[in-house]
Amino acid sequence: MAKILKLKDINKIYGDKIKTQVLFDINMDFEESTFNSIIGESGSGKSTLMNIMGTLDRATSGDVEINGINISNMNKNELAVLRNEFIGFIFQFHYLLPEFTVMENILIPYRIKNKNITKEAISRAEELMEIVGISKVKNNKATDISGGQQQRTAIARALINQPKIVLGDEPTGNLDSSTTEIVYDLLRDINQRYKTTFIIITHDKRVAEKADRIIEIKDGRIEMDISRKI
Amino acid sequence: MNNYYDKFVELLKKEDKEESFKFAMGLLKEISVIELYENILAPSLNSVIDEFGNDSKELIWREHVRSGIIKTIVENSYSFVLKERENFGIKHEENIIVLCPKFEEHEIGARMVADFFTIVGYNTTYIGANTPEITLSLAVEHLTPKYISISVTNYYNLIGAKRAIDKLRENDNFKGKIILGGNAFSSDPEVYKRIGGDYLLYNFNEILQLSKEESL
Repeated sequence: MAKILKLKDINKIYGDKIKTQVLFDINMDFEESTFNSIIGESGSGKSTLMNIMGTLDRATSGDVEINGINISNMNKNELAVLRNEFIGFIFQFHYLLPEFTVMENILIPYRIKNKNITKEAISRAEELMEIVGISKVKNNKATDISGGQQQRTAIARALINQPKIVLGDEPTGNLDSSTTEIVYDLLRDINQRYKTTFIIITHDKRVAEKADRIIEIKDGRIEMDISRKI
Repeated sequence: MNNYYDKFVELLKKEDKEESFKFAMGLLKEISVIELYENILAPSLNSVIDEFGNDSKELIWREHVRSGIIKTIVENSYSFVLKERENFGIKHEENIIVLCPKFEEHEIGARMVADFFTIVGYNTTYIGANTPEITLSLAVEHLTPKYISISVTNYYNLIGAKRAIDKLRENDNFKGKIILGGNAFSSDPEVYKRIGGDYLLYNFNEILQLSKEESL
């Protein structure tokens, strides 16, 4: 299987006068269509690592390659274009725009990328809402739906541009256990349906144990990297 | 043996505890406890995944019921374990501890392995499922085992197994070897080394081999 994301010798140091190194020589590849989980204690460096993978932050040294493109020398605008094209994000907090409806929120990344909303985009948004089970609330404001529905809206929003990679930072961290299971099953379904690569930071054992691969980050280093038979 | 297995799985699929139990215990008049564990009980545990693998809710309760039936059979086979030990006639002075790491609740494999170590002559102590590192540490202090055998089914729990092993190596009270086993190792047979294990053993014959090498 092709490598969709490669990290080579990634180091991250914060601060100029007082330097704090949070990532040490991270080398990792992710294969296309796989479902990966990253675990680790708070402060282990996993969110920093995910921000670097998602081009939201830059490594102090090392190379990141996304879909065969080395991003090291890209400027902010180029990174934003690449990010919007290849990567979808799901965070613990949904960051939906409260004054917009569910449908409008889902279409935001499409609008940023293409300016105009096409019939195809609406039809894709409808399809995604159907898959994540929020069609009935599509015209509700983001504040007028449940927490589980908000997170499902965020998932649909992450997928509207058909990203090759979805990065999730505790996407079920704010949900109760039964909703967590529903959301996880949904992510898995999307992973299999669209061959999207998922890389999910989680504290939830039930989420991590069902991934194809579990990576544990400890003190800024890869402590464990285990895969199950796929 | 295939007929015995088919008949047992038929009873197990009905979740018929009484008939499954009677059938398995009756089999011990014809086959050894080792054969019962390896050829009948262990594969029958996997049959529930073949049957309900795509339906996680159905799978969980049925797996629990069927595991409970098999656990009863294993518990009641202990006299046959002791008899089998006499047949082999091997005796080691060393202690061995068998356990599942923290969060690992699938313990039937570990229970069977504990019986296998008993059969090949070790003083075996089975601690249990979901064993915290501190519990293991206290047991090690008390029993000073030569071997610690850790059974891992769910591959997520390899992380717990590694933590337990790291903790054991940090402490000075354990100088022995770590034996690993279980389904969690099936996708990557080399992972046992990465988490600090000394041996990866799959079946009774490999345990017997280790025991014989120790006897030399």
